[in-house]
Amino acid sequence: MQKRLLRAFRMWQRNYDVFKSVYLASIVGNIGEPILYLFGIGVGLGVLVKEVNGISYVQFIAPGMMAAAAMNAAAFECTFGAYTRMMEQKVYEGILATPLSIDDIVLGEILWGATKGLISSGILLVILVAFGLFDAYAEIPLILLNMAAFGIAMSALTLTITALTPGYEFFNYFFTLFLTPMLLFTGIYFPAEQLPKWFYSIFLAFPTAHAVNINRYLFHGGSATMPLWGALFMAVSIPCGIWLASRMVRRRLIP
Amino acid sequence: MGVVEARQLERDFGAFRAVDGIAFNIEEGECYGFLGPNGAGKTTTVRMIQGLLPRTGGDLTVFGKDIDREPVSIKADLGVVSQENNLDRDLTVRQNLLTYARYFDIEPEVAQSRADELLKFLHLDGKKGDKLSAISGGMQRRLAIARALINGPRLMLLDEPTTGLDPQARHMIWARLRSLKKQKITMILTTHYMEEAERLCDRVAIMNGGKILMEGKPSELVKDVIGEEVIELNLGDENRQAALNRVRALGAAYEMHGDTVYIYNGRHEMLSALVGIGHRSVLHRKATLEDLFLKLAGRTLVD
Repeated sequence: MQKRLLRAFRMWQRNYDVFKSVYLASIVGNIGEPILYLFGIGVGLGVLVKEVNGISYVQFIAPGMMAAAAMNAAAFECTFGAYTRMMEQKVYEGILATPLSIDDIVLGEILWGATKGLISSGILLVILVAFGLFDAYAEIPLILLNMAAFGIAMSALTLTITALTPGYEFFNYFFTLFLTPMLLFTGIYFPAEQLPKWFYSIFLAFPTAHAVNINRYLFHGGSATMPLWGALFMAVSIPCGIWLASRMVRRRLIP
Repeated sequence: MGVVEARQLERDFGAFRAVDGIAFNIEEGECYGFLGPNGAGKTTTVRMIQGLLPRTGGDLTVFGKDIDREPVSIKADLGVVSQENNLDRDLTVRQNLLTYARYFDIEPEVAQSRADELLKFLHLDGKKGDKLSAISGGMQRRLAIARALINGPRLMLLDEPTTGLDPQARHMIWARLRSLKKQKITMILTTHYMEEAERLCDRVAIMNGGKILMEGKPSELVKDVIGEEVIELNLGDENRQAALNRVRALGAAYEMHGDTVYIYNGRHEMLSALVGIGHRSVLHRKATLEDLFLKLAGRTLVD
C-alpha cells in the first residue's frame, strides 16, 4: 500500500514539475473565471437580490464558487490534460515501461487533478478573506478537506469519461452538457430548494451538489442532514470512482 | 536458465491471432533479433515481454519470473525503447532522464550523475536543457536509449530502434548498441533492416504471420538457405526470356525480384557462362540476410 502510494506520487510529481514551469498561465486560467463570476454575478446581481437566507448574495454564493473553482480545475486537468498525456503524447506508455502500473498512473493523475482543484479553490478562499467575505476561520481545515475529497471524486469521474472519449471534440459535449448544468443546478447561485425535487435529485448522483452543501454548511451553518449525506457520498464514491477510472483507462490502453 | 523464455506463446486481438504459438529462449548477454515484415508479430511479442500486453496463452518468463504475475520487480531491471516516440514532451532533455529515474525510485544524486553520464555516452550533453521540439529525430531516439538505460537494466528491449533515421544517425546508434553489448547487457531487437540484424544480433528469429519460421545465427541461416555467395544480375527489358533460359541452364537455384535475378550459391565459374547474356549489371558478392529474407518473401512472407 505504501509502495503503491509512492508510485502514484511519482506520477503526481511528474505533473507537478510540468506545472511549476507554467504555473502562472495555469493559475490565471483556473482562477480568473471564478473571480470574474464572483464579482460579476455576486456584486452585480447582489444589487437586485439583496439577501438569501439572511446573508448577502455575494456571501451566499461564495462557498459554491469555491466548489465551482475546484470542479473546473479538476475537470480541465483530467480531460484535456490527461487525454493529451494518455493518447497524444503517449506519456502513459512511456511510464508503463517502468515499475509503475496503470493503477499507479491513474491514482497519480486523480491526486493531481484534486491538487489543481485545491489550488484553485484555495486561492479563491484567500480572495474571500481579503475582501472580508469570510469569517469562519475555525472551519478552514474541514473546508480544505472537503475541497480535496471533492477534487478526488470529481477527477476520478472525469478521468473515467476521458478514458471513454473518442477525441478532443467530445469534451465540448462534456463541458456544455455535463459541467454547465453542474454549475447551474447544484445550489451554487441560488438555493436548490427552488428546483423541483426530482430534478435536483438527479444532481445528487454526482459529487458537485454534495461539495456545495458541505461547504455552505461549513461557511454558514444550518441543517447538517444534507452535508452528512454528502460526506457519506464522498466516502463511497471516491474508492468506487478510482476503481472505475483504473478499469476504464486499462481498457483504453490495452486492446 | 534463459533471461527470457517463451513456450507456446499466443496473443489474440479479437479474432486475429497476432502471435501464434511461438517458443524461444534468450540467453544472458545475447543480442536476439526478431525479424519480419510489418504485421509479423514482432512488436506484439516485445510488448508481451515488457508486460504491456497480457498474453492470451502459453508461458512467458523474464528473469525466471512470470511477467503477468510479477511485473513490478521485472520492470525494475528492464530498459525499453519503443517504436513510437513516447518521450515526455512537456520536459527538457535532462528532465526526461531525471523524471524517469524517479519512477524507478533512484536517489536524486545517483540519478543526476547517471543522467549526465548517459547524455555524454549518447552525445547529447550539449542539449541538456533543450525542449524535445528543438532536437532532431535521431537525437530523440538516442535520448530514448539513454532513458532506457537510466535504471542500469539487465535486459533491453529495442523495438525498431533505427527506423526512420538517416544513415549517419543509424550508424551512431549501432555503435552505441555494440558498446552496450560489450557490457553484457542482454538485448532483444526487432527490425526489418537486415543490415541491422547482421551487425548486432547473435541470433535471429524470422517471423511471419505470428510464427517463427526459422531461428539461428544470421551467418549460419544464410549459409544453410542461400549458400556462401550470390550472383546478382540486373537484366535489361529485351531478350529477358532468353537470358532467363541461360540462367536456368546453370542448374543453380535462383529467384527473380523485379528486373533482378539472384543466383544462389553463385560460384565464380558461373560468371563466364553468363557472358553476353544482355545484362545491365552483374554483381558477385557474399550472401546476406537480405537474400534469405527475399527468398522467403518470394515463397511464404506476405506483406
